[in-house]
Amino acid sequence: MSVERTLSRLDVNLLATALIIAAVGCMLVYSATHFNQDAPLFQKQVIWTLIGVLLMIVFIAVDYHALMEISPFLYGLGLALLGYVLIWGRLTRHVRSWIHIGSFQFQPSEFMKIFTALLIAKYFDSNDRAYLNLRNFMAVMAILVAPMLLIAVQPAAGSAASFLPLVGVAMFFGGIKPRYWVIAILCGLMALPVGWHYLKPFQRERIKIFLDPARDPLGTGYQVMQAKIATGSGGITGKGFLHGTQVNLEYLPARHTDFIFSVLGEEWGFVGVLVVLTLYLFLILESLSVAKAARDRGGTFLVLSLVAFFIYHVFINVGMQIGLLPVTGIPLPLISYGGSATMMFFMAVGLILNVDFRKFVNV
Amino acid sequence: MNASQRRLLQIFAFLAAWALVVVARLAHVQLVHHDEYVARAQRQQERTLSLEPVRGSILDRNGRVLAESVAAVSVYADPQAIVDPDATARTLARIPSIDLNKDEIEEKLTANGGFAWIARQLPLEAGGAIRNLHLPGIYLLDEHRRTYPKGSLAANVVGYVGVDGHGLAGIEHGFEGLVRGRAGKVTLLRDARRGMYFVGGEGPNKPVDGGDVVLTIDAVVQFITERALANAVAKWHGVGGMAVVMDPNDGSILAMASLPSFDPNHYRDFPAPTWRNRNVQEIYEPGSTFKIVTASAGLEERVITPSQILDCGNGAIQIGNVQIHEHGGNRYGLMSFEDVMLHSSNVGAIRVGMSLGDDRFYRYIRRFGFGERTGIELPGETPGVLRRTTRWSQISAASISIGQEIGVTPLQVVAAFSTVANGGVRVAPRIVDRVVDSKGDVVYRPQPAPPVRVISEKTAAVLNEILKAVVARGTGENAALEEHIVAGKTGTAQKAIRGGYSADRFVASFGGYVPADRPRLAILVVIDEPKGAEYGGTVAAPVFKQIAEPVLRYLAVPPSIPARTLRVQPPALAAFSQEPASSARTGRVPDLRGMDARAAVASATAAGLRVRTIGSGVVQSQIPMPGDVLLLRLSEGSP
Repeated sequence: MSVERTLSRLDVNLLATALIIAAVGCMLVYSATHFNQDAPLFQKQVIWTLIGVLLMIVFIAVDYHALMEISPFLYGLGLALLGYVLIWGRLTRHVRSWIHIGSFQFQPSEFMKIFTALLIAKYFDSNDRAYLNLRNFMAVMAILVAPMLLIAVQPAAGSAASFLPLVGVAMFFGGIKPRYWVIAILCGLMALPVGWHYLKPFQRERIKIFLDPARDPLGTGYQVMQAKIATGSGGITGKGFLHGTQVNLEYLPARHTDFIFSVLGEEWGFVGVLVVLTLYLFLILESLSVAKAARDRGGTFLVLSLVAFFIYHVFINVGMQIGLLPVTGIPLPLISYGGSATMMFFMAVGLILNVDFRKFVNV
Repeated sequence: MNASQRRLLQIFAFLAAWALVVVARLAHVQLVHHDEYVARAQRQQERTLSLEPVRGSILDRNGRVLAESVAAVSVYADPQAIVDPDATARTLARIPSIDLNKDEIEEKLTANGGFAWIARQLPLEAGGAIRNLHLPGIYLLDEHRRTYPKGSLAANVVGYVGVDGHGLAGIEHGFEGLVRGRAGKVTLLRDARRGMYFVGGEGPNKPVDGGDVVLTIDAVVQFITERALANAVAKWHGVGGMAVVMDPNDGSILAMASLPSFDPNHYRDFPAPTWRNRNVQEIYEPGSTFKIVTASAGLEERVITPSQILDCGNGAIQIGNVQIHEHGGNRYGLMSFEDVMLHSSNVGAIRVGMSLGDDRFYRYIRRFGFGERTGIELPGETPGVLRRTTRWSQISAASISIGQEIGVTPLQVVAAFSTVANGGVRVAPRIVDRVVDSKGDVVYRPQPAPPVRVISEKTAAVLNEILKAVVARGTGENAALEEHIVAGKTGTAQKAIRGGYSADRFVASFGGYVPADRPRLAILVVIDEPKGAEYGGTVAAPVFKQIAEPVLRYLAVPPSIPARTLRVQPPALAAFSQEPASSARTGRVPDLRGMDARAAVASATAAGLRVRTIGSGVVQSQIPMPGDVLLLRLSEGSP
């Protein structure tokens, strides 16, 4: 198969959209960090992006069926790494979630998302009943809950919660009978007070502040306040590239990571925000059509799981910045600074393209 | 529709709903409440400070500095960045040039808000000392401080500048726009960690320094004038005084003194009335000095000649049911108009004023510039009080003839004397010569009103002779100089009080010019409420002399004696000669060209020659016939 033919069968729209979003991300990271010469985060993000593109190519090239085959091993490796982090990981900002190898560091939880999605896809590939029976349902839940628990005790509730879209996909597309829905929802509600009990004080505070933003304008609520001031003062067309005063004066916390959307809002305004949201929407819809046209049930579930990650991250991250949702450490896909997340989302895009690329049996 | 399609549709619906909520929320924050968030961003980030330009200097005609701005440092605090208000306040209170005690400083340091001035415009050394303390939350801003190196000299002309850098009086106020320059703007940005940054101060935000105002004032003349005036006010225990020295040729004001005065470096230590320039801002009744206007009108309109005999009514004149008396109870009978002026007879002057008729008299008063502003470049000038003839009473013309019932400024009066001195041409007084920018380019030059002929040259010449006589043998004798002929007129005015005139409060004045036949200076001296003596001739005329004598010497005006006087007593003049005519001893006719009349005549007479002169001024040519009569042809101006 020639390179030319390969490219002609790639979903170029999807690929281009992902690359444009990543380019916007690099630009915003530069804008958010350029005044701080000590930490060349922009250069690092460019390197992460390039590594991400390489990983994406790998994840296009290798047939996803092969990846699904080895997914139990990948999943096991992921669990092992999460366990390693809990015991030997360094405490960074309240949380043990990083593995340090020399100056290189990464969060196994991000890669675990891909591994888990692959395993889920493999499970559903061999299970094509319209509805899951209880045993199957419990098996799927077990696959999902294991990494969630390991991440939740880091404690990174936000990251753990980012596995929830997989639960949703499994229940929604896997197909469960209405009575299981009721049971699941009841279990969830019962888990809430228990979960609250296990939340760390700073996590509880975040939820309280979400419910009452004026509670602590200079503490955790300060972030949301500053994010709103940044976004709000951007107006229709924004203050221009590198001209965001909230950003440059370092009012905006986590401006290159979780709150980078506010940099976009301040510097590029309502118009810029709409453009980026449209790009995400296009990415999601294009991926959903890939899921629909996938060759097999495994491909469909793989793409659905990955799209669910995108939807979840964009939904939570944007909702948090405009005060619709509580503050959690959820990055904006392909835009927020961060190696692990960037690599994970590029792998996800790669896998989606992979499924699209192999939708016809006679490849 | 199968299950998977339905599920996809549900996903789309969910996405659409989510997108709608997010966009609505963004529109709410970014579009609806945009202004509010901009304001909040600015409130936490910015404080705009203006960068004060360097204020221009105020200089005398020779470039001597009367007012200038010197570099200074202001100290301000960001109360929210202060770590230890108590210790910081104690440290700052120890800086000698900060006039606040520890508690006062601490109060400022603990104030709400992000900005508080601690001390403005401290000397540079104090700024350096504070900088070296490295106090957190205490910042310095380079500014300029206004200083007046000559203290109160010409203070009422120069004015003063308030702490906020605005000129509040005098030239400082009147030329604010040109002296101040254009302020630049810096934005003080504050980051989330309360660090401060200055942004701006460049391009259109760059401050433009103010221009230098060059006055026509001569600091030396000003000093002489102020000293003489202050001595007289002190000697006679007056409540104040005014004096103006003007060059009648071009209208330049060489000195303008107003007492009581103040030191603009510490203007707040002086009561507000001392900040005024009484020469333009206050009016007084001129009294007999105003008779030069009455005389000018009478002579010009030929209602009187100098030798014409007037009936001075034995000390009183009845107008309607009002009787006006001579000053000091004098009872004059028949006397010439020249003597009326010499002795300052009120009745005689009234007869002249009355015979002019209201309208004609009024016209001359206006032509001399009374009742309107001179247009001098000083703020707050009053036009004085001169009612229109339609509102004159039966005795108004009589009162105004002797300088009552009219309010004038000292500047208007000195301008009137200048007009007579100029041969009848009125030159508008001016006090600002030019404004130059920092590169030395003239950015403003006041355009004085063009000279206007008020009375004919002949009338002016006749009045000149009368005013010379006033000083030579009349009420102005105390103004006479040894080296120059003075022309002038005394004034003694009762102060107008409610319902009439005060019996014991006077304004004594003397106005005149010198040298009478080629005037270089017109001077008015006014002493407000002298005690022990009231007459202008006694109180004010000596001040004229005390000003004119040193000023003429300072200006290197050669001693001048008109030819007529020389003819009367030529031998006596040899004793005054500047340089003994050594050439005369050789028996040859000396070269007298270029010498002034007095020196030339002295040289010639010393050489045993008899002299006849034509004209006045400097020797233009001579007819050198040895042993014969030496004929000198004179003309005004340099040879």
